Amino acid sequence: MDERRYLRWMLGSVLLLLAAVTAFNLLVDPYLVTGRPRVPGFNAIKPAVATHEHLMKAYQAYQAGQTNARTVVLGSSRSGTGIDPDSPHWPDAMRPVYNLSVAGTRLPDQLHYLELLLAAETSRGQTLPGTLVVGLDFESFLYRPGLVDARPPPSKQQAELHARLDMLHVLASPGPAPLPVLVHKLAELGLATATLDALEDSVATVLANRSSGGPDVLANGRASDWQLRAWTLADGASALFEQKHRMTVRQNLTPRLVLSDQPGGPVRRLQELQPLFALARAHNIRLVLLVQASHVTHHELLDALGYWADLERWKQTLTQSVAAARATGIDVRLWDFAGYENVYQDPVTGRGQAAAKMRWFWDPVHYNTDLGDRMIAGIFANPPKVDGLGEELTPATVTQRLAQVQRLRAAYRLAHPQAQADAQVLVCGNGCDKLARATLQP
Amino acid sequence: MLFNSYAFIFAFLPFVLAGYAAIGRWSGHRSVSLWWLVLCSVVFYAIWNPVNLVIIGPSVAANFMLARLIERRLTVGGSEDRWASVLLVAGVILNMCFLGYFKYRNFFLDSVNHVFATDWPMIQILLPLGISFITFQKIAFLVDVRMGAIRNYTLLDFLIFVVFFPQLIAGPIVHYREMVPQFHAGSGRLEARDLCVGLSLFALGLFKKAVLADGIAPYASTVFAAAERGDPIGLVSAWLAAAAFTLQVYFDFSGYSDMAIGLGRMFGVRLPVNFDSPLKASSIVDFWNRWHMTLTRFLTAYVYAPISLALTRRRMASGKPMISRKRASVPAFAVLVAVPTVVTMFASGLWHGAGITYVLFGLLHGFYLVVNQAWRQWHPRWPRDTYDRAMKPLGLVLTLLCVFFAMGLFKASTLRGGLTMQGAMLGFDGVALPQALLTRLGGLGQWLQSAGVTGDFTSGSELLLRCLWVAALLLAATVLPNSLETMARFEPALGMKAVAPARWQATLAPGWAAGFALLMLGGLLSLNRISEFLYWQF
Repeated sequence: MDERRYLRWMLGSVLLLLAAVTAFNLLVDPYLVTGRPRVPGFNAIKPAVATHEHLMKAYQAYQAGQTNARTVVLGSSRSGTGIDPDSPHWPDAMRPVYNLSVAGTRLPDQLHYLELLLAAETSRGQTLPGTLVVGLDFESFLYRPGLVDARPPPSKQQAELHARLDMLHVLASPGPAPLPVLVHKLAELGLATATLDALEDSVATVLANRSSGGPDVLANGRASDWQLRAWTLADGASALFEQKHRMTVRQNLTPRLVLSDQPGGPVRRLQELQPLFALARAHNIRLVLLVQASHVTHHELLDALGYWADLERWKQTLTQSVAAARATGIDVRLWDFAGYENVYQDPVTGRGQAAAKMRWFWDPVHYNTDLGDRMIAGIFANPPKVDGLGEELTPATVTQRLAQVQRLRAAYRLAHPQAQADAQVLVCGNGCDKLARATLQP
Repeated sequence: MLFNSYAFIFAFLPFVLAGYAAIGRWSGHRSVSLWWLVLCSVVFYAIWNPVNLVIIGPSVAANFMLARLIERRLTVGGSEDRWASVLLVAGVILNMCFLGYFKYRNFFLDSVNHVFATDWPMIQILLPLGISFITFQKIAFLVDVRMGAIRNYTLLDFLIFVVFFPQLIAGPIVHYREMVPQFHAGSGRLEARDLCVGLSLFALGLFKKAVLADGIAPYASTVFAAAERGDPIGLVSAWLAAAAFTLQVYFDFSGYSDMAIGLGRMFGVRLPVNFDSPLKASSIVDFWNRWHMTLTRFLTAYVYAPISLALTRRRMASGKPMISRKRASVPAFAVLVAVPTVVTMFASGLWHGAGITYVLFGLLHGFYLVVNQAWRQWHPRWPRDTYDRAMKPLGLVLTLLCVFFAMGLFKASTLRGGLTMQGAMLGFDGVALPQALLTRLGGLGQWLQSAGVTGDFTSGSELLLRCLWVAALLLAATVLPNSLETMARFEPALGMKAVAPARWQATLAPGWAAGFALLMLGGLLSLNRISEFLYWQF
């Protein structure tokens, strides 16, 4: 073979293979970027959500205008796995429901996603959602002390995410898109189709669809609990609990995180609720805020880490903020599911136990859809009825709710005398010295 | 601009090749083609940061003028030769000061502050890319001019030698004598055969860099980051991370060298071999003869040899015994082998980066080399075959372990991180495996735990993936022929002669074209990945 022919063969093969890879990725659409239909047994399950959830939820929100959702759920992975849009307990008038929760996000980013969804719905001439259910994580209101701006500068990934959401927002808005936006979209399409990562994820997608399944983001936005279920069955819930507890300790022990710049000062990140209130007022949307459910062992750990007083103060100031918003005419209600009721004392099962799956929880902070269903059923019952789960927080009820949680906690500790000590061991091992204890004081 | 970037592959390279081809076809003047390459190389360098050019430019000009002055003194002859030597010394000092200021100033002041508890301020200094490569080449050029090995050169010769973009920022480190004659001998046109060989080598290098090196990188960096934080690292994780990092650096640097050699070949220029399967080395001496060979060549010629020569002369003058074919005396070995070796490796460590971890990395390798040389002097005299059969496999494993261990320092950005990593490799943090893995191992897991292995909450699947990556790449690095061996039939690099066809050697056949296309595709599809540029401080 002469040299020219060799070069033609080589360059031709590159182009041919590149075209084949791109076509395959376009067809499988592992990241939901092209909006190809989900075909069972081929690409219905999208396991790439385990590593690309931010990307996928952005494009799903962009395309979710097609779902015409009447209710939207916002929050982190906790509401992402726990709140089921297909729950039979949603009132008919609130359906269809779309779960826009995204793992690892805080309220400002969640609102960014929501604005994209609203823009997509508006551009398609659909009715905007009437209700927003927002899961609130206490931990996301804490920040490292000493930050002048309580919101640190965005990381590279966050900056990318914001740019992507802005780009899709422009595309979802009426009128021609500027050239840089189109170039950005084209680049994203290239990354989703003409990269080795996309090829690996496409192959993984097809394999997962041909075998026992995999992690997924469902068409209604909920994150599937496949991975949590698999881990639980393989290692037992106790392993997940211990792993999550250790992570909580690592994230919250040092430096000691704070709610305010000064002790007892205003809770800084509650300011982040204001854009949510403004949006609700602008679009006449009803807000349902949930203090996310956690397992009691998580609460014990927060106490051992010295955050219990912060948790109570946060609930009080949150209640005041919501009451103030309500006074301006916004339809907003706040529910507290962070307590010591029986459901939150769900026994932690170990590996090999007959019922490896727990009744209500996957790990200390991720509740399952059974508990999510109970919460929905209680909140949206007429009249609301959340006995045994929590209580609505208002200026009139917050003090008694905090006292109730303390009573339940005391009872729990009486019945489980080892609980506090276990949490202490997690925080500082068996050798908590005086210095370590001193740093834990609020 | 990185070779493994969209801008380079889809814009810069086609543009340069097209311009070169057009000039070659219509101009007919070789110098026009070379000026085109100089211009493109300057653009290539300036695109990183135009300030780089402002810093390097005057240094290049000063070296050219110094070389001219040296040459003039030599032309006059007689006592003027002495002035030529003075000018050479001035040039070397100038270059070392230049390198020292930009690369080592802060490191030096920081060390002084630590040792003497002073408070000399650090300043933010831009480190021009490839400063060590460029400086070393300029020094070698001045030395060669002084020795009379280079004569009748023009500004264009000097510039194309210094700035030729394929080897500008990451080597190989080249000599004037091996490069410039090739530029003059070339036809000035793009030759189809050169393009075939160059493109194939570039595809191989791109695959090694973008798919293999960048693919394994995360498995090393997470553990090294934990060591920097002071987190305990188990024995298994530490060794796996060190192995992963060694493989990352090998595939990264040798891949980049392959790309450089391939690019040079596209313009009809053969660059020297820089890597010769170093992980197949059966001793540390052998390792340094195969790893970053042009640096070893430079350090041997300009650091090791002068020191060794000076010490030899001194010992001879004082009538002390030398190293002969018989076994050396310990003092002779210490002075004539150990001292030059350790000093050279100290310089090698400093060359790799301005930091205490690099210095310790160099000294550790210096220690390895001295032990290796001592073994060669005093090892038991077995029959050759028996010795090779017994020692080669052992040497291979021992060399790999030594290299992995030293990489624990090389990767660390602080001394604390490096020592934590090496402490973990020595077992100071105990042996830990993911709890999930121990649970799944059943009885074996229980036995391991009773033997002192603890369970942690790292990911078992990630550990498995890390093992797979390390095993696969180690196998590729120690068993498969390297890129240049694969292309041996086409004399891909300087000093390589065409060899008889053998298995695993590429030919101009459709199958090989498709194979290289597949590698190229893998590289192109990986350009979006986060890519570490390991040589920015070289």
